[in-house]
Amino acid sequence: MILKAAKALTVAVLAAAVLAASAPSASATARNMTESNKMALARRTREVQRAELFRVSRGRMRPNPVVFSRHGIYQHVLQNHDLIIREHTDYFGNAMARMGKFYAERGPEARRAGGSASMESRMKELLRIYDLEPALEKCETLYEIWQAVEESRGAMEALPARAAMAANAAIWASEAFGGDPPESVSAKLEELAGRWPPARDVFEIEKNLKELAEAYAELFAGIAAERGEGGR
Amino acid sequence: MRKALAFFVVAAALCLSALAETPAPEKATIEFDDRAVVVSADRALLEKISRWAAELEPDAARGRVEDLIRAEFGDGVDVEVFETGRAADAVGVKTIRTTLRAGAMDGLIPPLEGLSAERAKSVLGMFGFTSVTVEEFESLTEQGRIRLLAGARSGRVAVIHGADAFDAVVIHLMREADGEKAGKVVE
Repeated sequence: MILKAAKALTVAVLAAAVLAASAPSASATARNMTESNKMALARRTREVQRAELFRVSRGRMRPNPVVFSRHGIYQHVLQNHDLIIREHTDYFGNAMARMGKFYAERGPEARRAGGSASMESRMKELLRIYDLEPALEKCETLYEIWQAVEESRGAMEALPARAAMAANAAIWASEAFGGDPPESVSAKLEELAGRWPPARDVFEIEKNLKELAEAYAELFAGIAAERGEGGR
Repeated sequence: MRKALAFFVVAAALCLSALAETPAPEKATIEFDDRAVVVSADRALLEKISRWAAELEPDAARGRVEDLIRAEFGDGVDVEVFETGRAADAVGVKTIRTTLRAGAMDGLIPPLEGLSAERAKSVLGMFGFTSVTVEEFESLTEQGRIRLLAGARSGRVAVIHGADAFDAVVIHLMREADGEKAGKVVE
């Protein structure tokens, strides 16, 4: 049910959100990000494949003996663009639905969270993560292309959890300081809200989330210790 | 021999009559909203205590009935306090079982992942939770647990199971209808 809604939302929101995110002026046109992701993947794959298979030697193109250590991934990246983009878009829809659910259920408290913890900021970050084009431009091999797609998926998978952590931490910090946390705490919350090392699989996602959750806990333990709440 | 037997019979009769004259203490149970107090005393004193208890303010009596009775009627009164099941009923009306991470994500508890029990307690203390470790919680008697939950009526109690993200957390939500702050008991 949620996934269905997410897919519907994906189609509906993509154009408007992309327009909002990439429109510095009113004259900017909407960009179909799914389509541009697909085109970027096809183009970059073609370019990289050519570079990987051939090398220039003494002015002549020669076959480059690429060792297909990750043969399955190479074949997948070369052949299944539609599938990769469809799955990638599913991750986007799923992340958007989960974040929408979180902000709806937590109500005004979560929506009051400012900076990177705000819903607007998180939705923009989701769009930025969803956009594969900048990451693909930096890829030099097919394996790097695969990694870029996986990192984007991982980041989208983790974003709702990060949003929940950031918003809740902002709420608790506000409660701890009577609605007005000091600059140092706000800066730390902002830093934690934006912290996300690349993760390419569920294990790396979990490792990152664990480190992030522990960092938030450390922040509050530090505040408690400063206030002499006891505990060591 | 006959004289000795007669003496014994007379002595026994005298003792029995003396025993019969001593008024046997009676027991009465006084019920408060969160506990029951069993008082042993003679009938006259019991009547005085029951009249006194009827005029007692429940809030003033909460948690210190035993002391109040002793202060008012002296140490001679035998008082036994039972915190009844009604105390627990009054405290927790809804129980949610979750984990440290899920609880933090849902905003039920502050972030505690990876913190030692003592540091987690200090964080919880900052937000008005009273906290104990699961070992401390399990070492409590049933009465002690009820007392802990009863204490949560004016705040929140956390029983910390561990530092891992997926360590269980049981949350008892307080009854808001009583006009008290919706505190939480976390096990």
